[in-house]
Amino acid sequence: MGSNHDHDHDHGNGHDHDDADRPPGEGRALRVGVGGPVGTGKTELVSCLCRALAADVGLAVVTNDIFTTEDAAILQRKDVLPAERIMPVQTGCCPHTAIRDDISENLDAIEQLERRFHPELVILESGGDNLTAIFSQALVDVQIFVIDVAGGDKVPRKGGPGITTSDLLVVNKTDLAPLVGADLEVMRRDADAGRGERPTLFVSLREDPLATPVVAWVRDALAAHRRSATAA
Amino acid sequence: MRAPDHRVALHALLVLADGRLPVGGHVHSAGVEAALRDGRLPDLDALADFVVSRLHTTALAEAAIVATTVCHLVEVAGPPVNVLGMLDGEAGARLPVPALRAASRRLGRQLARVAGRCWPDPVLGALGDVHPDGCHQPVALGAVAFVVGADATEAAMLSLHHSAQTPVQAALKLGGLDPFGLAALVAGLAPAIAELADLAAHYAAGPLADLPADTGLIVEIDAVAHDRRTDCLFAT
Repeated sequence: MGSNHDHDHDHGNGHDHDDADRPPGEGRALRVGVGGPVGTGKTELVSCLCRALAADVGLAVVTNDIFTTEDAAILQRKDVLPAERIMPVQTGCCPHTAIRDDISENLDAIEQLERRFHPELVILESGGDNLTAIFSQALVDVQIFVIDVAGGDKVPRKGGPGITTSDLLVVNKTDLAPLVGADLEVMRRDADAGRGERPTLFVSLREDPLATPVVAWVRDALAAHRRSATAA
Repeated sequence: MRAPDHRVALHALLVLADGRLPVGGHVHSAGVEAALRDGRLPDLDALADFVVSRLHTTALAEAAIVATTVCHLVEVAGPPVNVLGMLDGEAGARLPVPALRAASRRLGRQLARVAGRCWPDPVLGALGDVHPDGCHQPVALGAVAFVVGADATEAAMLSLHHSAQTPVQAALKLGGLDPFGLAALVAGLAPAIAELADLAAHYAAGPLADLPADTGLIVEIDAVAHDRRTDCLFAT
């Protein structure tokens, strides 16, 4: 992708990396990772967050779909964010590597967006992956893991770092529960058992296209990030 | 028996040669994705030809820049940023495709990021002052090799090793080729890589204008076409 041409973006003074190397919460954007298996509604959730937040929060999005521009194109088609604030990144067949083992490309994309737009919030959408995928702490400040009811009510019990350690677990497509014979109470119980105090939200993005509870959670995270930036 | 301090350099070279080092290389296929798409890499033999061609052309040109960077940082007086800037110009001049120039700078700044954490040194700091988008990758690699105490030939070998492994690992993922066969392919390149590393070090001792600029037309055409597509798994 031509995301990195020699003269098409404004640069700082050659010491921009100082900002990125600072620990989270010291005056740079809040970075939120959105991960989860294929087809669970990650892109839809990111669209919802953009629609709900773009009016009063400076936003930028990095996407990691396997076919690089697929998710970015969806976000652009939905007209939720100006195209230049959405940056697709290739992951070389390894979506989890790009968010965990070698975060270079994603960090690079985030830094480019931060230099250009100085957003308050950067959302990084991982490519669809398995239950063991998790974002590096050096890449995002908080992470949301999205699963869906259609994948079966056993998924929370199967666990994996995404389910057990994400800051927020979102269980999407609750409207499909009766159709696929999934027991939401079983999912709730297993999620709580694996996650302890960490929150889990059940949503149907089809019925609630504003993702109301998730947006509220992100706003809380943003408020906490601002407070820690002020205190620092 | 080598001196203990060279064992330290050797360890740094092992770290630098390890595909687990987060330098952003895993998103590049060195043209393999485009060649596979066109049906030009049906099997291991075709891939071996592809890699050998690459070693003798673009990879040699890059390795020569890497080796030259080591030599110049050892020999040339003055601020490292001047040396690095001059070599950065030489590296860029050997990359006619804008997408590959951009990728080279991106890989250079990604290497500088991790190397700066591993082996903090003013020379690595100077890499960020050469160009706002970062130094070209071979110059960055040469600077890192210099900082860890590797010589020009070792630095060239490291560069050539990555030039071989990048397309091989991409072929593993995209074509499902036999991983043991691929490992044997890379291991079997040892004589060629040793010879080319010597050649790169030889160029490093000569004038900059004589540095090799070999390339492959198909590779360059592929790189342009690849950059214009929107359905790629790899960045190059």
